[in-house]
Amino acid sequence: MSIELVTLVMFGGLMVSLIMGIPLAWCLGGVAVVVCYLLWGTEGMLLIVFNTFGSMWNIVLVAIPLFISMGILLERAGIAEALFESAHRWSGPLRGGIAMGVVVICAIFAAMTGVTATATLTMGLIAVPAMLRRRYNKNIALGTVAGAGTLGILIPPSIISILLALIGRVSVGKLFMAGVGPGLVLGALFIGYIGIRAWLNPRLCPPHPEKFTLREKFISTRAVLLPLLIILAVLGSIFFGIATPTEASSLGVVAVLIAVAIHRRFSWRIIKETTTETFRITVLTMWIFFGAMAFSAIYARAGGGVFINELVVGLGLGRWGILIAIMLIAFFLGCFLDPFAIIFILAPIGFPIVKELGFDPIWFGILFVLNMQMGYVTPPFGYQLFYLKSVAPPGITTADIYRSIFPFLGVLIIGMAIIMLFPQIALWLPELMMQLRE
Amino acid sequence: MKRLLKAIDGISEWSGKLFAYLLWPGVVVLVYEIGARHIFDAPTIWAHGTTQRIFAAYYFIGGAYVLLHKSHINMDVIYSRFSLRTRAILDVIGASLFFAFCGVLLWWGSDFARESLIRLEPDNTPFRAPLYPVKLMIPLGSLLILLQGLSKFGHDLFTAITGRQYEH
Repeated sequence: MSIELVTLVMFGGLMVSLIMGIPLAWCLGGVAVVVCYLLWGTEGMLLIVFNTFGSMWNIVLVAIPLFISMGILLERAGIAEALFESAHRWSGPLRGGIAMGVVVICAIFAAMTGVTATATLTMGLIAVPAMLRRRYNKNIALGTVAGAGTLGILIPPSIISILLALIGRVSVGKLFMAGVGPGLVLGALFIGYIGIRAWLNPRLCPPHPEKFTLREKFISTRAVLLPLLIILAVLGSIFFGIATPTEASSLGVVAVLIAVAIHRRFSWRIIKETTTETFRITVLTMWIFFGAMAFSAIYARAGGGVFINELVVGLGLGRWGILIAIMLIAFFLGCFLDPFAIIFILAPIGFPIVKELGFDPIWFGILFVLNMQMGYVTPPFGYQLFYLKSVAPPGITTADIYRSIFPFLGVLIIGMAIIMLFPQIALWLPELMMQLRE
Repeated sequence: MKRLLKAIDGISEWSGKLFAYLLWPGVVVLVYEIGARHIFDAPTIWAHGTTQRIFAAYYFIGGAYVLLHKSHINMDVIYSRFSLRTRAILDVIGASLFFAFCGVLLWWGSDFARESLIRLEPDNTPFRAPLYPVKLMIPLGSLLILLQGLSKFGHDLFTAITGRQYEH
């Protein structure tokens, strides 16, 4: 088989089987097995087993279950309620203040967890009804939570960054740190957008009349102490080289358990739920990973990397043209596919190309994450929309949620353009981290 | 037949419930390593290797549990619009990819593990603990997930032919 035909069979087969609704893990792994057999007969099958072993033996991936369990514990820890109360007390007289507070809370949650679900589900439960009660416009209330919730995968720790770092062969620690600057920029953009809308139209998100004394405000601010402790345990220990990302994730789990206990939420039910839910999400992710590794190993062995490289470079789009084309493909796929699927399909092809073109792979990784944030919110397939729908108060329709997201999608696109034009926003922190270690 | 299907579901459920708790020893071992290295200045040689062993078993044994709970993610934008029977027919066709992948993992994974077991292969770190238990997880986990997959295949085939859900 020529490499053109192999490419067609592998990616065509993948697309057809995905559309048929076959679970992603079997699409990737099954197509890999079929093509492997066609190319090399049964001789090639050990390649698939080798790659599976390599994935299950990889210590970096151990961070995934630990970060997932942190997120699930945090959903139930009572931290979100305390933070929201504080945001509420401080934001009173400010138009759009609660929504801005929600952005800050989402950023804090993003710095504690590696997924978007934790902030989105908790804020969907607590903040959306509270904002609607205070006559906030539906689009602002819903869009803020769905949009700012995606910071979870940009601000470290991040499951998506771990997977991208492994596929792109870059350091997880560096890719984590590269997410901090862009995360702050996006948070500021979200707040700025809410501020402008609130300023232009006073009825959109009115200030609330409840008054709190300075003392009450400061007391409520105690709520940020535990999150800061958790952030310090995880990100601090990675930044200062005290622990590897995997070890840091275990410190994070312990820190969150302490927070759960302090909020008096500790129970065997929470432990049981966390245990089984973490297991479910981790195992399904890992089986996709096994399938994806088999798929990309077979494709690479067949000469796919060189082929795609020549094909793309031969397009005559120029460096930036190619980079933007990759981003557009990722964005388009993001409307229909799971972000994990896009990463496993596109990143193994994308990273070698951008390295060949002389772009910084860390910076490309961050652009990819930003793109996946959009994938999380773009209809028809966007997890943020499903999460929000699952916790939204009755009377909120799926169409309401879909409508609310578009301006925030616009903010994400602006944010991505800014990071594209100013790579230093992403790269200064990993560079500082490496300087400190020397 | 019903008893067989129930037994398979039971194995998947209980193996999953049990192995899910491996999460916590994994946390303890890693935290111990950080403490040993920074507080007692005595890094262990076994902590990382133990963690890798724990989670290798965790991922592989869990496949059947996740299949039982229908949690392997798929793209359902189109799929979810089909009737029960059409979905079952697609599932029956799609099962070929599942059986191909997991079948390879069982068959060649057994070779891979047997070869390691025969020479009692150690890992290549100073720990030098046996590696074959990790490799054995590949055929063992694949066997469990294939059993569960067979049970699911039976259910889907029933629905594809009759248009009804199979009742236990």
